[in-house]
Amino acid sequence: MSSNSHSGKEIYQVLYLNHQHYAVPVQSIISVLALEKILSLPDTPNWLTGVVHVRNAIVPVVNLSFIFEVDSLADESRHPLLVLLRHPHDSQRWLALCVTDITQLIDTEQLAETGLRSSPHPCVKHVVDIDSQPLYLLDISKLFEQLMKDQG
Amino acid sequence: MNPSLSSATAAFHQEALQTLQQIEDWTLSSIQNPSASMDQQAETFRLLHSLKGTAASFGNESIAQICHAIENVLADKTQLNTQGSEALLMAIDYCRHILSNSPLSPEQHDDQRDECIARLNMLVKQDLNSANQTQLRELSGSVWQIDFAPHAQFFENGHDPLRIIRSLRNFGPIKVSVFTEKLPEFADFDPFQCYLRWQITLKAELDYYQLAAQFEWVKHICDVTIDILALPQKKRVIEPNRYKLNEANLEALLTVSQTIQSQLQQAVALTNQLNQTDKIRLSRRNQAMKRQQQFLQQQLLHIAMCPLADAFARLPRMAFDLASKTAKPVQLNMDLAPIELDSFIVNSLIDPLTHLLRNAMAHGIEAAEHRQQQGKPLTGQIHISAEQAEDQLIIRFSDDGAGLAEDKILAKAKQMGINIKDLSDKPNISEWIFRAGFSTSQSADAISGRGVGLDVVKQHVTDMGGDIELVSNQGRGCCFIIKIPVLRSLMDVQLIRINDQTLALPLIHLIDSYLWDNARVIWLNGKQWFITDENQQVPLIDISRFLQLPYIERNEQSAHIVLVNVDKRFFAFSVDSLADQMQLLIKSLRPHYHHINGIKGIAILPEGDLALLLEPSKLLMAYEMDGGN
Repeated sequence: MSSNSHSGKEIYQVLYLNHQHYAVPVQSIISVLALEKILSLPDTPNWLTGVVHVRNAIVPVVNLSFIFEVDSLADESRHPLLVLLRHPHDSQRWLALCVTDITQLIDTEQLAETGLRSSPHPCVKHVVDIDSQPLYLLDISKLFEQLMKDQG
Repeated sequence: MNPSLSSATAAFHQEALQTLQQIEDWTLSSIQNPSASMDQQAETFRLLHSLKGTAASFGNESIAQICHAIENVLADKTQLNTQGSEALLMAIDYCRHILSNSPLSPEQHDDQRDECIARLNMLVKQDLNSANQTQLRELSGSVWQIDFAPHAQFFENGHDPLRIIRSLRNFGPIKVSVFTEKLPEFADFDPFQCYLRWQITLKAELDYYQLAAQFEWVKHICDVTIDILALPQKKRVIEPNRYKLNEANLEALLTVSQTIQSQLQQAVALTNQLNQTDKIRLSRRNQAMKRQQQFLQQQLLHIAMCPLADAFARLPRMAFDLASKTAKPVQLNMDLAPIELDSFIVNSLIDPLTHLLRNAMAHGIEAAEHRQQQGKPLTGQIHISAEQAEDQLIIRFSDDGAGLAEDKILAKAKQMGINIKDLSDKPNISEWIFRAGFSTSQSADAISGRGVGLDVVKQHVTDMGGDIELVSNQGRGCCFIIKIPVLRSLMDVQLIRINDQTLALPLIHLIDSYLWDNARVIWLNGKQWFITDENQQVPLIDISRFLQLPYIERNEQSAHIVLVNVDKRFFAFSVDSLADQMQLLIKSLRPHYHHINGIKGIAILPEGDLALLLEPSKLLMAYEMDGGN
């Protein structure tokens, strides 16, 4: 589903975490917040940092570095922002990504010029190289699926 | 085909609201244009009478009583004064509240109804020549103003104004003002005449008659006016809620409140960058704002939540009435968790619970002679329990009555064209009775009609996102199990600290706690530690391992052992320290994440930090599954 379907163009926000660049559709972003105090949960996968209380909801915080198995920095001050995302098809379901920084906005037309590659990772729609650095275009639905996969 | 009870009730509500609107229109027009309204009075009277009858047939006695009281008012009056119009409008608002399922407790409902009826009855009794006095005689007050002006000859029969004033002081604190404007010049002064008058303010909850009685013997030789300055607290007129505050508004306000809390917390970190003086100043402001935010949060939660017990409050009285009507003695036992839930859930439970009780009394509990023949105790038993387990409210509603008549249900299912694959398929039998129009009753009865209520019960539960199932044992009784997702609740908890993390333990499970170094015997059996509590061996569980908390060296001075009860099974665990006991807002991990075993939910601490709320039953289960290690 396009996040900007009327023009056929999808706008992505680039996120920076642990020397990696990721991109999420801007329409999935509810807000960008300063990092809240995270409560760790027992018996959960390592990529689930914990939960935070934002906008009157208990929201899981996901560390993409663990999902993509990039060596993660334990120090939370290195990723002081939370990007609050909503499920593309269920606005009542949210998750938060902890990131170091948010950088530029890019659109799919720009990306198409650069050349999109597919990725073996289920949470990634495409990979594109920007300035010789890979940029992972995240599949938000799959990210939410990942979250509910480990039902206890 | 009979319409379902829900659609019939909805139609009644709609018609009743329309009728109330018409009566209100007439009431308002009678103030504006008395002569024109007289023509419509007969029609209003007819509407009222019709509403009274319909309300009574739908079991809504309160509306029927109000309509009756209004009828009495209109029978005596062709024109309403302001006081009469206010009383009518108040009564109409009350009826609307009932029809819109207002979040009032049954006691508040009763108080409001009684207040409305009292005001309407007062109008009927009102004597136009002494309207104010009649009104007072009907009322009680908590603050009174008494103007006491003895006639000049007051002393002639030995009466003493001071004695009367002192007698008022026996009721409560008084403030007395004396007025001397009639006091003559000294030369004209007659010591046998009374020239003074008094105004007394009395603060006491009492009836008008009690007060008037103090002047009974002197009323012919004085002028007394008694006015109420304040009504008693419990009888004070509750203004109908005329403000618009729906669920979405409330959620928005709670979100704002939580966001303020979060931003205040973040502001604390920024103060570290300031110089010492500014830091202190800003910290003070921050603390003040935090207190205001916490107050705001409390007020909003007070609106949003209400005790779970409110949903069950009317059942004991109803069971009593139904037992009298059906001549089936019954004992109602209720075991309700002391929690508060969303008002929406609590209010939505009232109807299905009422249906289930009516159903149990009409079709479940047998007549005393039947029970005797079957060797059952004469008094039927109905047990209702409600508890929060994980993130669900679980209500068990059971009776020791006849259970489901399976043969009749199968026959009815065939009659309705339901495909019966296996006649002994019991789960299906239990499901069929929740279908609309499924009733095995041969005739309607006054208590539960034709038994059409169970599909309504299921609909109510489904509307709350929940589920209902029925377990029946023919001849032994049946049990309805209702499960409703709970996204937030208010719960009394004991806060504990383990490995530098704050955790919340539901207070209902806490039995005792003792200092770690209290010379209590702690002993090892195999790999498991035990303690001895009142000659019982109680396992000492390492919950920090279960919760995967990072190890931090313990301060033995503050360490405690906490003794916990789960359905009369005890276990203990050690904590680094005990913190406060308080009522906290508990939130579910759903819908954003799934439930985690052993964690009942997330507790929101007053400062906005989060804590895991432990689920002791699951901790014990995990310990047992781990072979007691």
